[in-house]
Amino acid sequence: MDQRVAPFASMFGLNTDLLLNCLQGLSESEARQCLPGGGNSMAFLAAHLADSRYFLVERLGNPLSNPLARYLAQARSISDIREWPTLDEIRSAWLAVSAHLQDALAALSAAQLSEPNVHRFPLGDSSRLGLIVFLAQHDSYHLGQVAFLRRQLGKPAMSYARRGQSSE
Amino acid sequence: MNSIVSSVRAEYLRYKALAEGGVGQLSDAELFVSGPGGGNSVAVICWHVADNLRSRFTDFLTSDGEKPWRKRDEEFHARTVSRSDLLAHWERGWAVLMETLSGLTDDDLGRTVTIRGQPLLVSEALHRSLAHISYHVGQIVYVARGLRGDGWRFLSIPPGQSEQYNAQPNREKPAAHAAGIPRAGGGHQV
Repeated sequence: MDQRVAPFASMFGLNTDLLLNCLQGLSESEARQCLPGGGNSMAFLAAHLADSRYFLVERLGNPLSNPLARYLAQARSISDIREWPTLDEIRSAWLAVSAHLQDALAALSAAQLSEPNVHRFPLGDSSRLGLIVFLAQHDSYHLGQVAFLRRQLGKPAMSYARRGQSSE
Repeated sequence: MNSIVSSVRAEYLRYKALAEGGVGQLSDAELFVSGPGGGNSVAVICWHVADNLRSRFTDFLTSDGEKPWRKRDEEFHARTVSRSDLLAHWERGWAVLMETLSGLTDDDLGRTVTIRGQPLLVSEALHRSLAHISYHVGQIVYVARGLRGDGWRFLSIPPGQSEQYNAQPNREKPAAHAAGIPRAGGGHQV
């Protein structure tokens, strides 16, 4: 893997596990609950995070069929969603795209990383690497919100345990 | 060549502006309101972010990022200070980061620093820090939006306005995005 992309692959990997930890022990109704003052539910944010990763792999030239697309396709905001994916569907989509993303990142050559991106985000760094940087931070931004929502629902704080490792 | 460090700096400033866009929409009292379920207030999160940056980026290349003088647990204590004191504390943390970034070049990215004794490449340390900041800025914005309710002024793409937004994609550039974020009340500029 190109050294420039390695920190982001690591960050995406960590965030993959942290989102799963955030969803642990939630009921479907808790996940869809919008808290006082408005704002997005955990289910919406989790689906949005997964959707963003499907967008990223597509832009990196490694598209993967998005099972959440039919729920989100016509939705301009949370209030437009008429049918919700279950938490299991979100987890499954998240795991699938996350594994695919790691492969896609590993396959990128230095030249491909430096190619101008061909999407609607003309970032400070207008290369493919710039898009990866932007969406890695986007990942963390919304993960922070999911972790916060989890506490608001009265659940234990998000665990930092990684899959395949025992948590202490 | 300093493109990566410049890009990292721009992304930090994007998230700084987002946080300030949230803070600026809150009254002085609302800054200190805990979230439902005992969540941290906006002031507590800002305080933590500032102290984290100050610890990580003071003598960044030559000393451990977790400073012996840092009192991390105290950062999460409920606190009531004036808005100006809070913003001054916030700026102190960011100033340390910006000063350090101004002295870095892309050639430094392969050097090693330590955080809590663990070695990290400078590139890894920067991006890990940026992820940490993004994580907490997401929370600041979330709490602020919850407190403002219907009066919230959106900082990125308002619901249902993606198409209009896409027609002006330059707003995604960090500096343009930061400049377009409304900052009521404090008028605190990046």
